[in-house]
Amino acid sequence: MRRFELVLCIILCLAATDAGAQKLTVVGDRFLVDGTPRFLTFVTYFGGMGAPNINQDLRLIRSLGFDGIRLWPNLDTGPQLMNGDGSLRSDELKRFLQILDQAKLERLIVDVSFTYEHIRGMTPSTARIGIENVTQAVRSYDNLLFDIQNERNVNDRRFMSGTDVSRIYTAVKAIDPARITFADNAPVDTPEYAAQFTATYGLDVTAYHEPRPGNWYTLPVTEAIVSALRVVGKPVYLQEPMSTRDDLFGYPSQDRAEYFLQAIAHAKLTGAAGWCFHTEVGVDFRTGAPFFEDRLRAYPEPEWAFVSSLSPRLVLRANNGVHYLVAEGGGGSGVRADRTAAGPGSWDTFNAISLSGGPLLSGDRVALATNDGKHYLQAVNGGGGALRALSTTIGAAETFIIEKTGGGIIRHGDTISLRVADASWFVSAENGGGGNVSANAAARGAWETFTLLFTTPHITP
Amino acid sequence: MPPSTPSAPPTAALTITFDENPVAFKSTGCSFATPGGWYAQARVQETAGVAVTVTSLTQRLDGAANSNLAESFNSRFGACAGGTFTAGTIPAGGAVCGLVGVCTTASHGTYQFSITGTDANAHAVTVDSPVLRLSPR
Repeated sequence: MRRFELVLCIILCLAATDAGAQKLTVVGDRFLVDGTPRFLTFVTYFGGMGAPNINQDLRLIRSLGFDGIRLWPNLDTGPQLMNGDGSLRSDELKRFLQILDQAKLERLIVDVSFTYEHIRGMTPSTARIGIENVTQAVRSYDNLLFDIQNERNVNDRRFMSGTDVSRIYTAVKAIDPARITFADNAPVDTPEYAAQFTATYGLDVTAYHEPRPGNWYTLPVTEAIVSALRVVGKPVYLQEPMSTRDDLFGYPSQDRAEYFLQAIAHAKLTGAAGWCFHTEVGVDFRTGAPFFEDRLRAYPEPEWAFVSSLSPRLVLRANNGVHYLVAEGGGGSGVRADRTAAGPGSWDTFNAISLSGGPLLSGDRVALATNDGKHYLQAVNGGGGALRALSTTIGAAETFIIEKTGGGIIRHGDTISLRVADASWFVSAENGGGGNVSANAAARGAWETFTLLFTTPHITP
Repeated sequence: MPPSTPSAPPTAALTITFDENPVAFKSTGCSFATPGGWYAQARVQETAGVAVTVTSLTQRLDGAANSNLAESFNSRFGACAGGTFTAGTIPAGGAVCGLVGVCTTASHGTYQFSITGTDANAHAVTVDSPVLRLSPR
């Protein structure tokens, strides 16, 4: 039996390795994925240890456009990873590693948030033993970050002193110096306190759970919080913003995706490095629909509307106001700007892939996938010539900088331009539309501007 | 035995069919900008074994060319299911397909398109589609 398990483990490990798992690192106040800075978007999957369909759930989460999940492996709604003395439960460890392996395959980051209060008899001292054991068990995973204790500053069973956090941080680093490790703070303290806590104990990330007033999602509120958190120069992770629903509290401004769309855009705009969509649908899988997708779809607002926005689809209307950019045949051929609003079909719809992560901001690097789902817009020879939709991979010629005058969030109806990344060529619709499209304009004029219209949920201008 | 006279090179022959005619008004799925409209799948089949290079596409509503539907052949037609497509061409013995019709909030009675081009034997080719009857909304 043990031999079988060993063989199974080797197969799983090799499969995960073959998929080319991504490596999460921190440089300055940015998260990097495989060496490239990226704004990370997480979704709460607290009860994943008890989820009956992990593979399908994680595949969905990836396909929706999330970068990672937030998992509570000690949560009491499912199998719990630790015993009170800090030892790991063997079946639960296998379950935990199965989740991590599947996340690896799906190229998802896992925020492993520990909650010692959920384990009977566990103390900060035994929590240290437990986290040491986990650190040892997951050394080979590059796609994780550790939250030593959820809301460690709340004066109830969650409380963990700074000294205890520091001891655990040191213990983790002694085993795995590269493990990104921190402890988050709840809004019972200010963001200034949270930043100082990170600085005092030398943690890798400043994770903060924001207050939840009615205007929690607005730019001024987000800017004030993020700027306070950024002062210590570590990545700012807004780990637990407003919840979409809550059994205990009647929070304001949580019933429509619009609030969450604004919140994540403002987080990225003001310099946060990561943000988590805080839905409760993945907390307890003991009852309800077994698939995460069905749980999200059960709430058209805000859950499904929000998650449908992350991989935005859009059309680009040429400057003449009449014609739309179209990939001939839906992709795999040329690109023109002569589709009309009266013409049926969807060859004029593109999937925007933000290579910078998160909602589209002016200056972001994007690739535009065609409607056939197989091809990308490509500046032939890296620019200076035709624009086509022949490529099936994303490289420099398929990467564009999306820009709008004045900068900021790219909103529905904005006038934008597309510049070939690493070059100075702009995408241009000849005569402002009605004909060919090239990537050969050396400057931005009228022909190089397009009206961007999202076909997926988006921030109301 | 009299000398044989060389036969004239064949001319391309195009046949156009719709998958639905008359076509019902559909309130969704026409285009992003205008969700409602009449639309059907068109197939342009070449049957004489001579390829055609297309030079223009004209789309008409209620018998008149409509500037709101001024589009190119390449942005409207592509490969049929399982086939391939070469821009600007209807292959010899092959076919091209495309979604045609009109997305609109107005009322119309008919839709028709015409393709003009030159075949591989240098003959001018023009073909009109059947009239696509647009059912009342």
